[in-house]
Amino acid sequence: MRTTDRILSLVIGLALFALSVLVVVEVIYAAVNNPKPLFLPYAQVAEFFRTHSWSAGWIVTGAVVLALLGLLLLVSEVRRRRPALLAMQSADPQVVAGISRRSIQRVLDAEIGAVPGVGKTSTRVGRRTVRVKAVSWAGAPDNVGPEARERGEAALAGLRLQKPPSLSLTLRSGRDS
Amino acid sequence: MSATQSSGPAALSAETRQPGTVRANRILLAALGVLLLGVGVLALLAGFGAFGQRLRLQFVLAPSIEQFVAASPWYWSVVAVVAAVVALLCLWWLLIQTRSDRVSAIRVSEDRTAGSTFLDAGAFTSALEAEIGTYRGVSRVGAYLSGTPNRYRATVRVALDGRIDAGDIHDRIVGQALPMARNALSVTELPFRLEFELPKSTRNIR
Repeated sequence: MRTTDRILSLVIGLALFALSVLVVVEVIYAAVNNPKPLFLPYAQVAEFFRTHSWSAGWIVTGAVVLALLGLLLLVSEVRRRRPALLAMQSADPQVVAGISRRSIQRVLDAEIGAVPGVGKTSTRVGRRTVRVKAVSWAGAPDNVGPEARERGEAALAGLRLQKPPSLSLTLRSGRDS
Repeated sequence: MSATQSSGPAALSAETRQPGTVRANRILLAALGVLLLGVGVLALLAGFGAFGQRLRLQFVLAPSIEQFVAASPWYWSVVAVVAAVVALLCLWWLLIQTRSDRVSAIRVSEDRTAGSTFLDAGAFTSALEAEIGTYRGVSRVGAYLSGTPNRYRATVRVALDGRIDAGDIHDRIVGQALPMARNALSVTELPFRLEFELPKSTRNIR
């Protein structure tokens, strides 16, 4: 998200900067008795708004697009971001250590995926909960669920996290393979 | 294994070259979102007659607005000033994207008469990377310093190969590499951030 924000900031910043400079240039250009604008299509834009009412289809569509873009931007910026790393316990107060969420996801996918009877897994690592969705083969051993949970919890405990997240495991029966 | 502390945050946010820029981007983009949402909603309300049927059927650029602009000689000057302010704000917004808090040299001693001595941060981080890179279980190391030449923090990214647990590598870094680093810089305190990347599985390589 930080990278997206940075790219968006560069694009919007450049566009707004260029537009603002053009507006200043146009105003100064018009002030020295030049009736025609230099770059900006002022006459066409003014004519469009002069001939379209607030209830016109184009205006309503434009308003919907603006509102949706604004809402999207606002929600994506205000929403609390998922942490990049989960903190580890540390012996030194000056040392902050963490394991990337992607690493934890990979470890759990591998650990739970290695349980006999478990096929595909998909893991989402949150601040407090790790959600693992796994597919068990038809004919998998009866204890596949408890064993997968045990393996997942042991893997999480082995990471020495500051506040280990709880494991939520959903096991779905898949087709015989 | 050494004693561990159990207090502290449960999660860490991603490291960034400039936390101030990240905050500014977030605030400005959210403000832009509010502005776009506000304009869109107001235009929609006007279009659906929430402000009266007269406005609903009125042209967006009504004659009364054009008359007002024609009768106000100061209008275009105000537009130019507002555009200039927006341009300056955008220029500042663009310039802060290039900022970085990475430190290229650190001050190791300061004497008012003899001057200051700086150490190349790259030389320090290379030595740190070389030391940690020799530890069993470490496949890749990257280190950098951030902050200012006087107050800096070391960030070390360690990719593990799965032979040794992250906790044990952490303890070894804290017990060996960190004292070595503090010694090299002749400091008693050196804030450290360790980021671990784990391989898929830790069971088959051992």
